[in-house]
Amino acid sequence: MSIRQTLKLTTGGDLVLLLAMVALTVGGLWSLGWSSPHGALAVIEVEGSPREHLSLRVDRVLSIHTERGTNIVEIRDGRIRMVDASCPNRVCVTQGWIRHRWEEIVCLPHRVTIRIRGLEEEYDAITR
Amino acid sequence: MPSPVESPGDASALSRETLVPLAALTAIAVVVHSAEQILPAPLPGVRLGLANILTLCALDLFGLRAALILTVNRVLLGSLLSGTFLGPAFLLSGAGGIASVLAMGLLYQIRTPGGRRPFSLVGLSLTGAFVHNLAQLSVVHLLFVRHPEVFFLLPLMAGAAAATGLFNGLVALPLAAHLRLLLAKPVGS
Repeated sequence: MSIRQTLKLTTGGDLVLLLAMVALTVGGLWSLGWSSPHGALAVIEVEGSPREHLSLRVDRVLSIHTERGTNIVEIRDGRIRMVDASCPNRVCVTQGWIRHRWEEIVCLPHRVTIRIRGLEEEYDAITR
Repeated sequence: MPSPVESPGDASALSRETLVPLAALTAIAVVVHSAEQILPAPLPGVRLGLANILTLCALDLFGLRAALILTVNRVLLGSLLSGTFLGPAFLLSGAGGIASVLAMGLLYQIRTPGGRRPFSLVGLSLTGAFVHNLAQLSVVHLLFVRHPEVFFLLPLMAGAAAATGLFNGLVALPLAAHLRLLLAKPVGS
Protein backbone atom coordinates (compact mmCIF):
# COMPACT_ATOMS: atom_id res chain seq x y z
CA MET A 1 0.00 0.00 0.00
CA SER A 2 1.47 3.34 -1.00
CA ILE A 3 1.68 6.38 1.23
CA ARG A 4 -1.04 8.03 -0.85
CA GLN A 5 -3.40 5.09 -0.40
CA THR A 6 -2.65 5.08 3.34
CA LEU A 7 -3.38 8.77 3.67
CA LYS A 8 -6.66 8.24 1.84
CA LEU A 9 -7.74 5.92 4.67
CA THR A 10 -7.20 8.60 7.31
CA THR A 11 -10.19 10.70 8.35
CA GLY A 12 -10.97 14.27 9.20
CA GLY A 13 -11.28 13.16 12.82
CA ASP A 14 -7.63 12.07 12.75
CA LEU A 15 -6.58 15.51 11.55
CA VAL A 16 -8.65 17.21 14.27
CA LEU A 17 -6.97 15.05 16.93
CA LEU A 18 -3.51 15.77 15.54
CA LEU A 19 -4.13 19.51 15.40
CA ALA A 20 -5.59 19.49 18.93
CA MET A 21 -2.48 17.81 20.28
CA VAL A 22 -0.16 20.18 18.43
CA ALA A 23 -2.20 23.10 19.78
CA LEU A 24 -1.97 21.70 23.30
CA THR A 25 1.79 21.41 22.92
CA VAL A 26 2.38 24.88 21.51
CA GLY A 27 -0.13 26.55 23.83
CA GLY A 28 1.12 24.69 26.87
CA LEU A 29 4.78 25.38 26.22
CA TRP A 30 4.05 29.00 25.52
CA SER A 31 2.00 29.51 28.67
CA LEU A 32 4.54 27.76 30.85
CA GLY A 33 7.31 29.87 29.38
CA TRP A 34 9.64 27.01 28.56
CA SER A 35 11.77 29.35 26.50
CA SER A 36 13.33 30.35 29.83
CA PRO A 37 12.82 27.35 32.08
CA HIS A 38 12.29 28.67 35.58
CA GLY A 39 12.70 26.58 38.64
CA ALA A 40 9.64 25.72 40.62
CA LEU A 41 11.10 25.62 44.07
CA ALA A 42 13.84 27.37 46.03
CA VAL A 43 15.69 25.26 48.55
CA ILE A 44 17.56 27.10 51.29
CA GLU A 45 20.32 25.06 52.83
CA VAL A 46 22.15 25.84 56.04
CA GLU A 47 25.45 24.02 56.60
CA GLY A 48 24.56 21.72 53.70
CA SER A 49 21.25 20.47 55.03
CA PRO A 50 17.92 21.75 53.67
CA ARG A 51 16.18 24.26 55.94
CA GLU A 52 13.36 25.66 53.79
CA HIS A 53 11.56 24.61 50.60
CA LEU A 54 9.83 27.63 49.11
CA SER A 55 7.61 27.80 46.05
CA LEU A 56 8.77 30.53 43.69
CA ARG A 57 5.14 31.22 42.83
CA VAL A 58 4.36 32.60 46.29
CA ASP A 59 5.79 36.06 46.94
CA ARG A 60 7.24 36.43 50.42
CA VAL A 61 10.09 37.73 52.53
CA LEU A 62 11.74 35.42 55.00
CA SER A 63 14.50 35.68 57.59
CA ILE A 64 16.92 32.80 57.90
CA HIS A 65 18.49 32.73 61.34
CA THR A 66 21.64 30.69 61.75
CA GLU A 67 24.09 30.56 64.60
CA ARG A 68 26.49 32.61 62.47
CA GLY A 69 24.05 35.36 61.54
CA THR A 70 20.86 36.30 59.76
CA ASN A 71 19.97 36.41 56.07
CA ILE A 72 16.80 37.88 54.60
CA VAL A 73 15.53 36.40 51.36
CA GLU A 74 12.78 37.68 49.14
CA ILE A 75 10.68 35.85 46.54
CA ARG A 76 8.88 37.98 43.97
CA ASP A 77 7.58 37.25 40.45
CA GLY A 78 9.03 33.76 40.39
CA ARG A 79 12.52 34.92 41.38
CA ILE A 80 14.45 34.83 44.63
CA ARG A 81 17.22 37.04 46.02
CA MET A 82 19.08 37.77 49.20
CA VAL A 83 17.82 41.16 50.38
CA ASP A 84 20.13 41.58 53.30
CA ALA A 85 22.65 39.69 55.37
CA SER A 86 24.35 40.40 58.65
CA CYS A 87 27.77 39.60 57.26
CA PRO A 88 30.54 42.13 56.54
CA ASN A 89 30.91 41.93 52.75
CA ARG A 90 27.35 40.90 51.68
CA VAL A 91 28.50 39.22 48.48
CA CYS A 92 25.27 37.21 48.41
CA VAL A 93 23.18 40.39 48.23
CA THR A 94 25.13 41.65 45.22
CA GLN A 95 24.35 38.43 43.37
CA GLY A 96 20.82 39.71 42.80
CA TRP A 97 17.85 37.69 41.58
CA ILE A 98 18.02 34.08 40.49
CA ARG A 99 15.29 31.98 38.87
CA HIS A 100 16.96 29.26 36.80
CA ARG A 101 17.92 25.80 37.89
CA TRP A 102 21.60 26.30 37.20
CA GLU A 103 21.87 29.39 39.39
CA GLU A 104 22.53 29.58 43.09
CA ILE A 105 23.28 32.14 45.77
CA VAL A 106 25.87 31.33 48.38
CA CYS A 107 26.50 33.16 51.62
CA LEU A 108 29.80 31.69 52.67
CA PRO A 109 30.17 33.40 56.08
CA HIS A 110 26.79 32.02 57.23
CA ARG A 111 27.02 28.73 55.29
CA VAL A 112 23.66 29.53 53.63
CA THR A 113 22.92 28.40 50.08
CA ILE A 114 19.89 29.09 47.90
CA ARG A 115 19.38 26.60 45.09
CA ILE A 116 16.59 26.34 42.56
CA ARG A 117 15.06 22.96 42.19
CA GLY A 118 13.13 22.56 39.00
CA LEU A 119 11.27 20.11 36.90
CA GLU A 120 14.17 18.45 35.22
CA GLU A 121 14.95 16.05 38.04
CA GLU A 122 11.67 14.31 37.29
CA TYR A 123 12.67 13.31 33.76
CA ASP A 124 14.45 10.24 35.08
CA ALA A 125 11.25 8.97 36.66
CA ILE A 126 9.39 8.98 33.35
CA THR A 127 11.14 6.67 31.00
CA ARG A 128 9.81 3.69 29.09
CA MET B 1 -6.75 -17.40 30.11
CA PRO B 2 -9.03 -20.36 29.28
CA SER B 3 -8.00 -22.52 26.38
CA PRO B 4 -10.52 -22.45 23.53
CA VAL B 5 -9.57 -26.00 22.56
CA GLU B 6 -10.64 -27.48 25.89
CA SER B 7 -13.80 -25.41 26.25
CA PRO B 8 -15.25 -24.81 22.78
CA GLY B 9 -18.63 -23.87 24.26
CA ASP B 10 -17.17 -21.11 26.42
CA ALA B 11 -18.39 -17.84 24.94
CA SER B 12 -15.62 -15.90 26.68
CA ALA B 13 -12.90 -17.88 24.93
CA LEU B 14 -11.22 -16.63 21.79
CA SER B 15 -11.69 -18.71 18.68
CA ARG B 16 -8.70 -20.58 17.29
CA GLU B 17 -8.85 -18.33 14.22
CA THR B 18 -8.25 -15.40 16.55
CA LEU B 19 -5.95 -17.01 19.07
CA VAL B 20 -3.21 -18.07 16.67
CA PRO B 21 -2.69 -14.72 14.92
CA LEU B 22 -3.13 -12.92 18.24
CA ALA B 23 -0.37 -15.04 19.78
CA ALA B 24 1.88 -14.15 16.83
CA LEU B 25 1.07 -10.44 17.20
CA THR B 26 1.79 -10.67 20.94
CA ALA B 27 5.14 -12.36 20.33
CA ILE B 28 6.13 -9.67 17.83
CA ALA B 29 4.97 -6.97 20.28
CA VAL B 30 7.19 -8.41 23.04
CA VAL B 31 10.20 -8.47 20.70
CA VAL B 32 9.55 -4.95 19.40
CA HIS B 33 9.00 -3.68 22.96
CA SER B 34 12.23 -5.28 24.19
CA ALA B 35 14.24 -4.16 21.17
CA GLU B 36 13.10 -0.61 21.76
CA GLN B 37 14.56 -0.65 25.29
CA ILE B 38 17.98 -1.44 23.87
CA LEU B 39 17.93 1.04 21.00
CA PRO B 40 18.70 4.65 21.89
CA ALA B 41 15.66 6.90 22.32
CA PRO B 42 15.12 9.45 19.52
CA LEU B 43 14.99 12.18 22.19
CA PRO B 44 15.79 11.80 25.89
CA GLY B 45 12.73 10.38 27.63
CA VAL B 46 10.83 9.83 24.39
CA ARG B 47 10.13 6.39 23.00
CA LEU B 48 8.32 5.56 19.80
CA GLY B 49 6.17 2.89 21.45
CA LEU B 50 6.36 0.72 18.34
CA ALA B 51 4.62 -2.13 20.16
CA ASN B 52 1.45 -0.07 19.91
CA ILE B 53 1.43 -0.84 16.18
CA LEU B 54 0.72 -4.47 17.07
CA THR B 55 -1.93 -3.44 19.62
CA LEU B 56 -3.65 -1.35 16.95
CA CYS B 57 -3.66 -4.29 14.54
CA ALA B 58 -5.12 -6.58 17.21
CA LEU B 59 -7.80 -4.01 18.01
CA ASP B 60 -8.71 -3.54 14.35
CA LEU B 61 -8.72 -7.24 13.48
CA PHE B 62 -10.00 -8.91 16.65
CA GLY B 63 -11.52 -6.23 18.89
CA LEU B 64 -10.86 -4.62 22.25
CA ARG B 65 -10.64 -7.80 24.31
CA ALA B 66 -7.93 -9.24 22.07
CA ALA B 67 -6.03 -5.94 22.17
CA LEU B 68 -6.25 -5.91 25.96
CA ILE B 69 -5.00 -9.50 26.17
CA LEU B 70 -2.09 -8.60 23.88
CA THR B 71 -1.15 -5.58 25.98
CA VAL B 72 -1.32 -7.34 29.35
CA ASN B 73 0.77 -10.22 28.02
CA ARG B 74 3.20 -7.86 26.34
CA VAL B 75 3.74 -5.96 29.59
CA LEU B 76 4.11 -9.16 31.66
CA LEU B 77 6.43 -10.95 29.23
CA GLY B 78 8.38 -7.79 28.43
CA SER B 79 9.03 -7.09 32.11
CA LEU B 80 10.12 -10.68 32.73
CA LEU B 81 12.55 -10.44 29.81
CA SER B 82 14.02 -7.12 30.90
CA GLY B 83 13.98 -8.01 34.62
CA THR B 84 11.72 -5.13 35.63
CA PHE B 85 8.78 -7.29 36.77
CA LEU B 86 6.87 -5.52 39.60
CA GLY B 87 9.35 -2.64 39.52
CA PRO B 88 8.47 1.02 38.86
CA ALA B 89 9.03 0.62 35.12
CA PHE B 90 6.61 -2.31 35.13
CA LEU B 91 3.93 -0.24 36.88
CA LEU B 92 4.40 2.61 34.43
CA SER B 93 4.39 0.29 31.45
CA GLY B 94 1.26 -1.51 32.64
CA ALA B 95 -0.67 1.64 33.57
CA GLY B 96 0.21 3.34 30.30
CA GLY B 97 -0.51 0.28 28.19
CA ILE B 98 -3.85 -0.62 29.72
CA ALA B 99 -5.12 2.97 29.84
CA SER B 100 -4.19 3.53 26.22
CA VAL B 101 -5.85 0.30 25.03
CA LEU B 102 -9.06 1.17 26.85
CA ALA B 103 -9.05 4.67 25.37
CA MET B 104 -8.38 3.36 21.87
CA GLY B 105 -11.06 0.68 22.24
CA LEU B 106 -13.57 3.30 23.33
CA LEU B 107 -12.73 5.52 20.37
CA TYR B 108 -13.04 2.55 18.03
CA GLN B 109 -16.66 2.00 19.13
CA ILE B 110 -17.71 5.52 18.12
CA ARG B 111 -19.80 5.78 14.96
CA THR B 112 -21.06 8.84 13.15
CA PRO B 113 -24.84 8.97 12.47
CA GLY B 114 -23.98 7.60 9.03
CA GLY B 115 -22.48 4.52 10.63
CA ARG B 116 -18.90 5.41 9.72
CA ARG B 117 -15.91 5.56 12.07
CA PRO B 118 -14.87 9.17 12.65
CA PHE B 119 -11.30 8.07 13.40
CA SER B 120 -8.98 5.70 11.57
CA LEU B 121 -6.17 3.77 13.24
CA VAL B 122 -4.12 6.98 13.01
CA GLY B 123 -6.59 8.78 15.27
CA LEU B 124 -6.61 5.83 17.66
CA SER B 125 -2.81 5.78 17.67
CA LEU B 126 -2.60 9.49 18.48
CA THR B 127 -5.09 9.11 21.33
CA GLY B 128 -3.38 5.98 22.60
CA ALA B 129 0.03 7.65 22.69
CA PHE B 130 -1.36 10.67 24.55
CA VAL B 131 -3.35 8.62 27.07
CA HIS B 132 -0.31 6.38 27.59
CA ASN B 133 1.75 9.41 28.59
CA LEU B 134 -1.05 10.88 30.67
CA ALA B 135 -1.50 7.62 32.61
CA GLN B 136 2.24 7.34 33.22
CA LEU B 137 2.41 10.92 34.42
CA SER B 138 -0.50 10.26 36.80
CA VAL B 139 1.21 7.16 38.20
CA VAL B 140 4.45 9.10 38.59
CA HIS B 141 2.54 11.81 40.43
CA LEU B 142 0.70 9.34 42.69
CA LEU B 143 3.61 7.07 43.53
CA PHE B 144 6.92 8.81 43.00
CA VAL B 145 6.85 12.59 42.69
CA ARG B 146 4.12 13.96 44.87
CA HIS B 147 4.11 17.55 43.75
CA PRO B 148 1.88 18.75 40.89
CA GLU B 149 4.77 20.26 38.93
CA VAL B 150 5.13 16.96 37.05
CA PHE B 151 2.08 17.96 35.02
CA PHE B 152 4.12 20.83 33.59
CA LEU B 153 5.53 18.09 31.39
CA LEU B 154 2.12 17.57 29.80
CA PRO B 155 2.65 19.89 26.81
CA LEU B 156 5.96 18.20 26.02
CA MET B 157 4.30 14.83 26.29
CA ALA B 158 1.45 15.92 24.02
CA GLY B 159 4.02 16.96 21.43
CA ALA B 160 5.88 13.68 21.72
CA ALA B 161 2.60 11.76 21.52
CA ALA B 162 1.57 13.67 18.39
CA ALA B 163 4.81 12.67 16.65
CA THR B 164 5.04 9.06 17.82
CA GLY B 165 1.28 8.47 17.52
CA LEU B 166 1.23 9.77 13.96
CA PHE B 167 4.18 7.58 12.98
CA ASN B 168 2.79 4.42 14.57
CA GLY B 169 -0.68 5.04 13.17
CA LEU B 170 0.60 5.51 9.63
CA VAL B 171 2.46 2.19 9.94
CA ALA B 172 -0.44 0.33 11.57
CA LEU B 173 -3.08 1.50 9.08
CA PRO B 174 -1.73 -0.29 5.98
CA LEU B 175 -0.37 -3.17 8.07
CA ALA B 176 -3.77 -3.96 9.57
CA ALA B 177 -5.43 -3.71 6.14
CA HIS B 178 -2.83 -6.10 4.73
CA LEU B 179 -3.22 -8.56 7.62
CA ARG B 180 -6.98 -8.50 7.19
CA LEU B 181 -6.62 -9.61 3.56
CA LEU B 182 -4.07 -12.22 4.57
CA LEU B 183 -6.29 -13.69 7.30
CA ALA B 184 -9.33 -13.75 5.00
CA LYS B 185 -7.54 -16.10 2.62
CA PRO B 186 -8.07 -19.81 3.21
CA VAL B 187 -5.01 -21.59 4.61
CA GLY B 188 -2.63 -22.84 1.93
CA SER B 189 -3.71 -20.57 -0.90
